Amino acid sequence: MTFVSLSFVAFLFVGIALFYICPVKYRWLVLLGLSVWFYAQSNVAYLPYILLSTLSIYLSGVVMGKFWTEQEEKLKAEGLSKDEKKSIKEKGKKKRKAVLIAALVLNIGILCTVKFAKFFVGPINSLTAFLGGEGEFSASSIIVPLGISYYTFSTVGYLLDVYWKRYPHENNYLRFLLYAIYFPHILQGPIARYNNLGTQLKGELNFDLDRFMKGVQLLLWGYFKKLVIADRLNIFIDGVFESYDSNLGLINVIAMVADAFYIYADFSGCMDMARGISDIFGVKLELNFERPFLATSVPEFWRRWHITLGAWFRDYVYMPVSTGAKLKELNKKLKKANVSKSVSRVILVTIPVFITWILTGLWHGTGSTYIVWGFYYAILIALSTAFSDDYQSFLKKHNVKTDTLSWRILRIIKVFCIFMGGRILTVPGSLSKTKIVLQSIVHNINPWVFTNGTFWKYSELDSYGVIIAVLCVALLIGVDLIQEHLGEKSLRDRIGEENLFTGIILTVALAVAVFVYGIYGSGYDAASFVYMGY
Amino acid sequence: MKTEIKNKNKIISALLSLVLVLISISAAGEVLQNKFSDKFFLDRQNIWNFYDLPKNSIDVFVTGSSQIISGVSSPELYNEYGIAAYALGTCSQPVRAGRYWLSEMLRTQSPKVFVYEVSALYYDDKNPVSHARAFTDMKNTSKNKYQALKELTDGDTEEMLGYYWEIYGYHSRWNELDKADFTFTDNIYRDSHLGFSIINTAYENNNTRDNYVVSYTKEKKEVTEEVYLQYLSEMKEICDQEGITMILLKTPRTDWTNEEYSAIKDLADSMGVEYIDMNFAENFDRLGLGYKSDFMDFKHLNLYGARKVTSYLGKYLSENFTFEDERLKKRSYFKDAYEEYTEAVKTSTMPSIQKFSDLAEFIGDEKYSFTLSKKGNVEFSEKDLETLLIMGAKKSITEKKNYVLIRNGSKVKHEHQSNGSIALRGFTLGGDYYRGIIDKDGIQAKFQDASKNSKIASGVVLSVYDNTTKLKVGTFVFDAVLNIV
Repeated sequence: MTFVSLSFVAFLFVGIALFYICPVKYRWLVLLGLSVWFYAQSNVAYLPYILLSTLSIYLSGVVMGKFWTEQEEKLKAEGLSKDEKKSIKEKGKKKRKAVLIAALVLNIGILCTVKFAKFFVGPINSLTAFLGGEGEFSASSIIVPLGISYYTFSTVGYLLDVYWKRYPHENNYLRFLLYAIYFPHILQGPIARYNNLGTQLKGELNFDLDRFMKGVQLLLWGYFKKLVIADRLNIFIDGVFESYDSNLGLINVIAMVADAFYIYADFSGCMDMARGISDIFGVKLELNFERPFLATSVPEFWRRWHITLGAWFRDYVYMPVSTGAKLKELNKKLKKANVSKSVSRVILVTIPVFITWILTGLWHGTGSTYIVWGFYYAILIALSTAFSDDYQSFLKKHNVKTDTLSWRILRIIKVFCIFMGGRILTVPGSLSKTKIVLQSIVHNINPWVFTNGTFWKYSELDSYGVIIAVLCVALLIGVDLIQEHLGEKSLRDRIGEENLFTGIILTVALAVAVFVYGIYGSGYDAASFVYMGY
Repeated sequence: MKTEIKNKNKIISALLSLVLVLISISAAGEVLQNKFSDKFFLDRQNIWNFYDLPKNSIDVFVTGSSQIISGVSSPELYNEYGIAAYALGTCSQPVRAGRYWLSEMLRTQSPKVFVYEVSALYYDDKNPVSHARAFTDMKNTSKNKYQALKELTDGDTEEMLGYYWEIYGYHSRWNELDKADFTFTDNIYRDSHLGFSIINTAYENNNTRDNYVVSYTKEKKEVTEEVYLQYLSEMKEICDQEGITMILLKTPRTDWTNEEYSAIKDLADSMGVEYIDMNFAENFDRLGLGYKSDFMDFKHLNLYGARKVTSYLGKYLSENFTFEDERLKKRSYFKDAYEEYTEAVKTSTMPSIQKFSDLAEFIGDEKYSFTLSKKGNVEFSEKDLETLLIMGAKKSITEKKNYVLIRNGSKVKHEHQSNGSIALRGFTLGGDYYRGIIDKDGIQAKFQDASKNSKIASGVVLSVYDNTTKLKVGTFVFDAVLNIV
């Protein structure tokens, strides 16, 4: 059941009614019931996985909390020497670490097993065949629970925070389960933080008409992005990339541009739906996109795109690695070995960046294309971080004006091209196909394909479809520009400040546009959300 | 106070948004819904007129595919035998549709006899949406409609919803809309007379008795799908439960075979129902059909043929059942229907035209309005093209494209040519209401040689209306079976 399915719409209506009929005190239980039902609807077999993960992490949190309390009580004892205090702390840390490692091994282990199992199917079959078995284990028999990457990251983040004592552990398993399985974010995120979502879900979930209506507006905007823009662009992209070996040249370039907007509309559309739905239930989810195509550098892009994933890797991988003991040790060794400062900086920057980005790549997919994709960004970010000062001095030396609009536009285009470069590594499906597409672009500058009918042959969108797609992409960019201009204030709030009718007309127009121009129903095979498989 | 006003505004805004969204979506659905071609439009007339029948008013209910529309004249049954009947035919009606229409009919009627035309037992059950709609256009609240749709779509809720909610089913038509889609008007139905459609043209042929008559043989042809037999047995079961006598009927056609006749004959015997096959030699000879004068094409009768078939059927019914004579009632729905039918027959004064080019001298007259549709690959001769020019065509007509020409009096209202589908709806022709769509499939048909009718729905179909009487005066079909299969 995805957000765009009819059954989900029915589910949502019933869910909203049940939620608000119920007394405020028990509304979180309604949300829990709805979320479990929503999750089990996809496949009941997924439930044991999420129950095991949440239960193991919840219990680990409780045990860690107990260890923290024990440690604090011991430290309260009078007359302890500095060494004794240190020893108590170390013992406490050791015990907590043991719990942490056990929970991490179990949960990351489950995640890796279901994600990477397909790579072991061949060897396992060979082995069982060798041992006299039938060797019929197949990749399709492996269950990949819905949203496993999202809930594992959300719950593991919670555990690490409890380990570092950023906030106290949760004492109620059902509340913790709700945090993990909360239906608006289980499919595609955003990856939640317990101190935000968990706290809200524990508070009073009152009805607020203003927030409710803004939630509906955001939900509609999400549907518009997904059904009208993304799924329409997808028809075109599929048509072109299916013929990746047809030497389409410039058509491939157009498809790459379309693909960038497609993935943006698809993923951010889903996030808008998730946030809109959550707003309707009075819970604010974190922002996952902040006009990424207006970023002027790659690191900035990743602070604007899939923000919660980037933040997760920053807080739980990049920071611990870059400030960890191992890297400090390496720094010392480099100093001892008289390695120059700039080289040391490059080495020290590169290691955490590479670890983070290869893991990010693997999070997105387990094929070699995703590892290459991780390397691609790791190299770009490591280079830009390591040589940032040199680059700035170069610009200064040559008197390049960098505070101009044209310079900003150039940088935006550069980031967009880099993003397209990253996408082309994974979209065609394999590196060999990527190579063919890129070769076709380089060797085949063929503008006549737009006038001799070739474009229409491969586009699978008729001229009306193309016009709608182009207009919608322009609208998407326009909305982002307005939002960028507004800064902190959301566009919905800004519209709310206008006359009553402005909001009404925009809401009605959006709803009609979704119903009329959306790709849905039995006549269309709407693509499922791209980020749902993670 | 200020907060209260603000809250009030918010509530008004939310409610107004909701109402406007609902109204806008409903209006968009009305614009976007498919505008069916003449043939499906005719189905709709038959269906909606059926719902107009007074409760428990019919004694005989006939259903089946297009052979019923052109072959069984309920107004004639009333006039000649006083039988109150309704013949609800829908184009290419699938067998399951017949079964559900029987149930649907029983919601409002309690006839003594149920006649089922068996052609569909040898149809492919391809279920194109348009055909499916022919029977799913039952009233929205009907339980039978829900059951039929559930079966048709294998319970696919999304697909089912498309049959109930226009915007859901037809929103992808947004790029096909034209002016006519935005024309809103009350529908006026003038073609369906208790389910019968007057067709007064005959097709050019060299048929002889041998092309029609069949006899019993040991070889049998199995029905297309085994499930058809189940539907048929369900029909019988329903009839038995309701105390209705079921009869199987076959109207005459040239492509009916001994094997098909024999299979249905055996089937009827095993079910214990009467089977009237008008291709069966003895019956066929009694009908006295004129091969050249009484058929619209190889499997559909025209007005003159329908009169003979109806008379034969009526005689059988009146001899075997006792009905209250509807003609003796002072006020009768069927009397009114018969009078309108008689008027329509009188107006059907267009001569039988077999060559397209012969039309020029009639259609050139401002007295008439017409709709002309060409579907698929039709070859026009120079003379045909000249005729089209006289009729008002301005476009250079391309052989392979679909084409529509609609003239109201002397004024050409619409002229469209397209590789894809053409959808039209309007309210023009002598006060008549038309809808039309030619779908995207270009189907081959040879236009010039009218004697070789293709057995697929394509070719040129022309409906002519009299501007004075505001009634249809004729339907002309060239080089194809009429748009009805």
